[in-house]
Amino acid sequence: MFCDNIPSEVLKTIKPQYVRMYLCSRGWSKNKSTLTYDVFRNEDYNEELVVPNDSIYRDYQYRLQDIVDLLSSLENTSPSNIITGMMISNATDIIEYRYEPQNNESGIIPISRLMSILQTNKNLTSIAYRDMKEWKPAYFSSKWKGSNIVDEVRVGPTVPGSYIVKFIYPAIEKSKSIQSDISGAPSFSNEDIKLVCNKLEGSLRVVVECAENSLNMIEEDEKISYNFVSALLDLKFEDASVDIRRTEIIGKKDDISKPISLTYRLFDRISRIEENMRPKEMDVDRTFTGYIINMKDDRKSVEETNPGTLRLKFVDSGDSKSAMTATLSLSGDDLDLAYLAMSKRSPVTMKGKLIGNRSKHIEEIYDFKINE
Amino acid sequence: MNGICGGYPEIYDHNENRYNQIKEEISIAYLRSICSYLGLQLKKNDRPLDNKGFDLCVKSIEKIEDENIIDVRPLINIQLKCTSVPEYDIDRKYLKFDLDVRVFNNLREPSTMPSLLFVHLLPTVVPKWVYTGEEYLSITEKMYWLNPLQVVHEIKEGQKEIRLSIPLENVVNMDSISKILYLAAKGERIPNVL
Repeated sequence: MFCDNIPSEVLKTIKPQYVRMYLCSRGWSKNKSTLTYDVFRNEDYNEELVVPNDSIYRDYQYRLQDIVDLLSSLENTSPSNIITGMMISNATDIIEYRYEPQNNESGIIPISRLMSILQTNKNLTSIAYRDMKEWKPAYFSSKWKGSNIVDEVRVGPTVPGSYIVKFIYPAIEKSKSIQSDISGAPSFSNEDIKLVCNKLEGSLRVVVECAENSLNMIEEDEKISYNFVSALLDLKFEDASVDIRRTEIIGKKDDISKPISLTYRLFDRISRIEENMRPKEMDVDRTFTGYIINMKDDRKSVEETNPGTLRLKFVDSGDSKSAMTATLSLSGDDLDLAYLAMSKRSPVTMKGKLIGNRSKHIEEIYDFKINE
Repeated sequence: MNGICGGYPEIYDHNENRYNQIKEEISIAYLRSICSYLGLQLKKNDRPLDNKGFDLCVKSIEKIEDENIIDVRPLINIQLKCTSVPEYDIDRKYLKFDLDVRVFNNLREPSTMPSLLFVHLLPTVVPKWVYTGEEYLSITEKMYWLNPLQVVHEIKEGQKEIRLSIPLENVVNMDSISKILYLAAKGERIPNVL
């Protein structure tokens, strides 16, 4: 089967080096050469592939098409996944978030949802790394020496019309060049990134498994912090579910990992786990005074009882005294009041609990009022 | 349908532009029947925007197992042309074919696999292009091949066409295609006399 749907312009942009790296990372090794191409062999598949040694050749795009075509059938995946893998072949892993709206929307992700997905993966990666390095039941500050690991993570190319956001975990640190071993295969230097992905995937599976089994707690042995579970709640969308799938580029397992499915119903159970894990220090009522800077009110377009999602900018009453923002949900009269306050740019006050690490939520809200 | 070439109401001159697409498809069908018999894959390429691509690609589906082989599934790139007004040299040993210099140069550009010119001859009598008899179906007449990279040439400035001499022994058939693919599998150049 030929992958005719891949534009030749795309194929031309994939450099031979990327193809070689991709093949080496998947167990192929250089077998023979001519003046114009190298032959790569994979013993497991008992297959050989011809890779042009330069992109200047007039038939380059056709040879690339052949390579993509064969790999697609051998790896039982789509040609676009193979191309993505080649274009980011210096990555250890891809973690993709598949946004699945329950309404009739197709092929698009609202910006606010996209932002949530971007921020959540950043948070989850950082916390998973922290859980791996210095696990504590909860962290009261997001500042720690390893937090810059997320600077390495990149957002990968996304197929137009899909709901998939791909995060690429690079195998080579920014400052380092690609090294080769004796056989000419590229060697990779970013081992921690791979371990983070292992931890991130493992923790996600544990939380989802606990939620599916209606467990309200996670065993301490799992070394999953409260902050991780709390950060995961940012993927709770009332009209969309999210599937998370990790694909290992280097050190690929034999099986393709199953996606981790986060449905709206599951979040009710994850919320209960979060409540039970919440440290007492965080589980106190606080008073918040600030301005509503953003709101989403679906009552007219979706359902009258739907709560609105708002964002409050306020000054932290704790030690830092810094300005911060938090999301909150309101419904009924409180939502009307919030709309009025936002349109008049009036400050508001409410009481509730501040939950979350980098992405904060205010929960169990009461005494909501406008400050005249 | 009335059984007339192209479904037109009448038969036109063999050089009519309206027959161009039909000629191309008949030539592909000619080559496809040989490839099908040999178990080869014939792929028609999408024509890229720069129009520098090859029309066709013939590829071995089965692996060639041989210790001299470099590429176990060899292939050849093909630029396909068709003519119904063939010209020959005096000794009738060569087909004289005028090729656009731009296409000629494209075929001589570096490529990973051999790039060959295939020329299909069609009769001047349009109803003879495809014959459906009671016992067989045939596509007339013959197809010839040439490796432009092996052609000694001199192109003057402003020259638009180059007159190529294609040996009449270079017939595209089961034997020649097999030999060409075997040479390609060994990573060797394709000489214009096999």
